[in-house]
Amino acid sequence: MAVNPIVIVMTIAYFAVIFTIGYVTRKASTNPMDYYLAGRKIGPVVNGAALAATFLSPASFLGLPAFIFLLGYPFWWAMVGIIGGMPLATMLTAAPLRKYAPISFTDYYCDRFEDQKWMRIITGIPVLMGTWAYVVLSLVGTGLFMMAILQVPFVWAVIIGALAVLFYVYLGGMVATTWSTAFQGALMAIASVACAIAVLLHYGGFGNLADAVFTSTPNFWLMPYASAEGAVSHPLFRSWTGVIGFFFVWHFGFATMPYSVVRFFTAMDVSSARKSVVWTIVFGGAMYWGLIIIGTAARHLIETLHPLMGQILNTADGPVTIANVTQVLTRIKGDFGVGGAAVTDYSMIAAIESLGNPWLLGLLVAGGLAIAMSTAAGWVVVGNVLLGRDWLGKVFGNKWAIENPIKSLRLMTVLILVVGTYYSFNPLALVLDLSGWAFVMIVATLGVPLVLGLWWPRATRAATYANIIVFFPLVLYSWLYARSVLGSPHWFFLSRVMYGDDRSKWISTPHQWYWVFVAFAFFIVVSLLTKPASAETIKQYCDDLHV
Amino acid sequence: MFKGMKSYFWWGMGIFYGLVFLLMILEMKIPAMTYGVKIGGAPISFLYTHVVALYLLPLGIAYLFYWLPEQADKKTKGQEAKKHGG
Repeated sequence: MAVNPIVIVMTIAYFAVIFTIGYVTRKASTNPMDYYLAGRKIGPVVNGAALAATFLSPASFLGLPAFIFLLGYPFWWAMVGIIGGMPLATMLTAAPLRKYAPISFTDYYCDRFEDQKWMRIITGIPVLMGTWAYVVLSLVGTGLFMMAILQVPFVWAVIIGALAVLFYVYLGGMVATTWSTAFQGALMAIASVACAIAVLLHYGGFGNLADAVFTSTPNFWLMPYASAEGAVSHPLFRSWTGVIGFFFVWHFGFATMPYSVVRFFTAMDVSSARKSVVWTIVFGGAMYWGLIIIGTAARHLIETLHPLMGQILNTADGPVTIANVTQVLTRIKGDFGVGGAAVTDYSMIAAIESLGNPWLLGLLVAGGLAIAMSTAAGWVVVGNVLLGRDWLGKVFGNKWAIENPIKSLRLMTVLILVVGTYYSFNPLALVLDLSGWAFVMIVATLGVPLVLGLWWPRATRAATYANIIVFFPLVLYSWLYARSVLGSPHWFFLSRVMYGDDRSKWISTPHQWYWVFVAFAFFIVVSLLTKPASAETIKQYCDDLHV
Repeated sequence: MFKGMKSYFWWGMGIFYGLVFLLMILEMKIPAMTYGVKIGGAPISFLYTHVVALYLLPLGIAYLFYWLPEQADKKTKGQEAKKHGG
């Protein structure tokens, strides 16, 4: 299939806007506070759009429609859980942290738990792991979009994406990142909604779409125990632990993940931080509304309209005529794919491709690049402050880093993107999946002390260390065991121990999400057994921040 | 724990979780609910999950969590100004 010139022009236009923003804002970041936090001058609309684009990664844009494609209607509830977690953040972390007004993500832990050196090192480790996992995931997402739609060789696509992010983060720090990310947030929402409306118009409304999906996949609409025969949409949704698990797995992330939390620091004031969350839902919720439509229609659209249907697929057993959706996606992966990406990751692109509209494809590639690059940039600005200011300057007391804060951050920006690009060239499936582990691990290790540090005077330094030391390896082990031994990170890791090889009895616990609740209980117990911070610290970093 | 958290936070979260879990229970009890129960020819799940639970409810609660503290701040400032004869 030849690439339509309209798609190429729209992609070039997208990059032109991003480069222009980076260039125009380069002089706005002349002092460290601008470079770290955009001078805390960002209004709620821009901050909200930037929050949406940063928090929602290619795992959302490509992965969630693919999950609906695979798991059916019950997965709609998982997406409700993600957006539904956003209002929590308004009062739980956004307003208190903006009142406290730190510079970096680790500052709060150091001040609240009275330890400026080791606390910064230990809390920085999960942050660094998250930075690595998400930068790689995002750069691969950039590559996938450019390769599958524009047919740019994957290595070059990753390099172009990484250079674009490097250009604006290096030059303009948080100022450029914020404005370009806000533009990307609006773009990804428009792309998703426009594609969804085109899908609805194609079918002639919600009812016809639902009927077409029911005809091709009757199990699509089933919830656990919903049919007398016990049929379910997917084994992972055989029990309610699957539905509730998928609802909660990403639910608490927005309030506690470093890449969203730092955006509360950039807001103009407490009121602006609160209002930013409203705008995040305006943009992010709109995007999710569109993704649900696309994910729901994907299988039927591809099977009935995709140009690869009826063409040839080369398999190990010789060439076969493509007759179903799996073969279409396998052919796309074979032609343009990347080692570690799953075939279903191409379902979103293939669904829109089926409509045969170059304007939509152009919008899709721009929206896809927007969400991928904004997440990469969001993590880079977390990682460069951690490495350049927190570790190099504050922990190791490096004179050059202290005297040249912007240069130090720029050096770390280059370092993070070089490492991220290297791992993106031939990503293993494990590396791409690690973002799921990183998400639950960060909420369990850092999210719990953050929320309880803000809202519980009794929270202690020892409990914070214990949480990180215990749950970092525990979440990794259980996730790896489930993924590698049981076949999916979404099975409870002790399923085989409890129920043997009878998979019909296994428990679904997506990404081992239950550790978040266990971590809360663990933190409370350890805090009650250990010495709290001084009364003055508790007043300053807990009681006085309750707004 | 959570001393100082405003009561509307718990009300807002209660409404959100209450409605979500009520709908999930209804879906469990009424097998046809996700696809078979229709409004205007479309499954009603497009209304309650796709529009209300996904978008309108979080948006409304987030707006209240912004608006209510603003009103409380204005009231406090007004009372302080009155107290100081402003």
